[in-house]
Amino acid sequence: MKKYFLHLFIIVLIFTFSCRQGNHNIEKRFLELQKKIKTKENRILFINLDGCPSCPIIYQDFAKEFLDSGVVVLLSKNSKKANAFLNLAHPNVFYDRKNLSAKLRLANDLPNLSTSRRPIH
Amino acid sequence: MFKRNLVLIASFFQACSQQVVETDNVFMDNFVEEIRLVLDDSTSNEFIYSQYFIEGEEEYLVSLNPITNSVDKYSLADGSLSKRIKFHTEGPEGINSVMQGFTYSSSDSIFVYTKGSLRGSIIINEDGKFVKRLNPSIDKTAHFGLVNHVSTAGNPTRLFGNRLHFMQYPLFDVYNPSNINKNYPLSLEYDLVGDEVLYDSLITYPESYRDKIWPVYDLVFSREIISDSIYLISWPLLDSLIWVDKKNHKTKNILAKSNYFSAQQIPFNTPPNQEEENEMVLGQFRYGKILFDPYRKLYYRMVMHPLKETDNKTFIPNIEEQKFTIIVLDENFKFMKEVLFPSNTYSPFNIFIAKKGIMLMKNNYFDENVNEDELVLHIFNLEK
Repeated sequence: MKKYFLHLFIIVLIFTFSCRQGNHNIEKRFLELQKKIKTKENRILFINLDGCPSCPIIYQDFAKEFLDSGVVVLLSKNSKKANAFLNLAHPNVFYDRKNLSAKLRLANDLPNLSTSRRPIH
Repeated sequence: MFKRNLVLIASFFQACSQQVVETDNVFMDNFVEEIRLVLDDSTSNEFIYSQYFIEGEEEYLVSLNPITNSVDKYSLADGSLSKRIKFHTEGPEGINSVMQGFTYSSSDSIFVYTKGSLRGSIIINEDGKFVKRLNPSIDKTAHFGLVNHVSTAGNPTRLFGNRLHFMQYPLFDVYNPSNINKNYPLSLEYDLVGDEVLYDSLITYPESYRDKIWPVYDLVFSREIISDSIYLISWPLLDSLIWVDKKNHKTKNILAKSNYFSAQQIPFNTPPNQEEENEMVLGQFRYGKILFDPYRKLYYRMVMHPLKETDNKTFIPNIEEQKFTIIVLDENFKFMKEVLFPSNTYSPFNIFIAKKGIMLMKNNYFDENVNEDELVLHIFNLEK
């Protein structure tokens, strides 16, 4: 019985450790992106305009409203397409032409929202 | 010993560099001319939905512009925008959903399609006036009355007489092998007079595909519509083309094999994850688009070449990193040659036939030198 609980304890420990590690990594990558795009906003919406051809139409209104509460990162090789989606001069819009956020594994093909639990400085 | 190895290594390097030089020369040997389309601030150079059109002697590249909600006609003579045909995106005469392709059939019949459905697509004329909305009466017992219409450069929807000829994407679980069968009609026709959809039972999944699991990208074919009753089909995993004679209800296989490989058909044993799919389609040779050149009476078949590294890569956009060849066949499908084109240079999707030759777009996703204010077109004559 003791042996059984010991095994269970080790398994729980492994799972807990891996979860912490994962979250920590995401936090670290999120922080890295915040520094690169020079923002302190803790809510970032990623929209890959090249990976999702329907996104420019489906998510435009949502993205515009989101600008009041966070940053929108637009991934696209084409600045005209990105600018037609959201005004690239807006202070809460970051145009990610070099796919920085995808390389940091924060952005996917479909739009996704990342938040950080770190307090705003 | 060291010397002998050095010679061996040197000859390997020599062989590699020789190959590159030969490749470059061969493809540029066929170069005819460059055309530069001038793009305004509201036009992306992607030209995802585009089409070649000839009117009298004038040649055009026509494109669906999702930023301006218009069909744009560019003159291939001087690269200028000769006409912007705007359409509504709201109201009873507008296209009220996400757009997916278009067909410029004539100046009074320009079809703009909605994504994943025929219903709701519109016809406009060259003045931008609304002509008709497609509202098919479909047999509800067939596939729940749904038609997953799609029009791409590799499989464009075309109008012959009063009928639109088009393909549809599957509406089922593609990883269930029993769904890959001979019953699902991939090709359909829309009768504009009767507003009805007609199913074509001749074009289904090829026999060697059936009851197996394939990457979803291998389930998409390219079709060249030779006439209202003759189609030519290229499947990614078949060395042969399929000639479809609708009138006589016959099909035949025509060998159109690449010199670089023989199509391997190794299906998955279990449904693949995304990484496995991408690795298979990007890491191996695949046949692509089929084209008929009416000016020179030639057929062209594209072959996508594998990437050496496929880790963390996805089919789109990384297919644009691949080199590709174009197999040239004469009018009797006799192999003439296979021309290799470099990676990261041209779009593998939008390739058209113009009077002077085959037209490639120089707007590759991975080409960092592309100027967003123009679209460069290269024309090659592969007859030589």
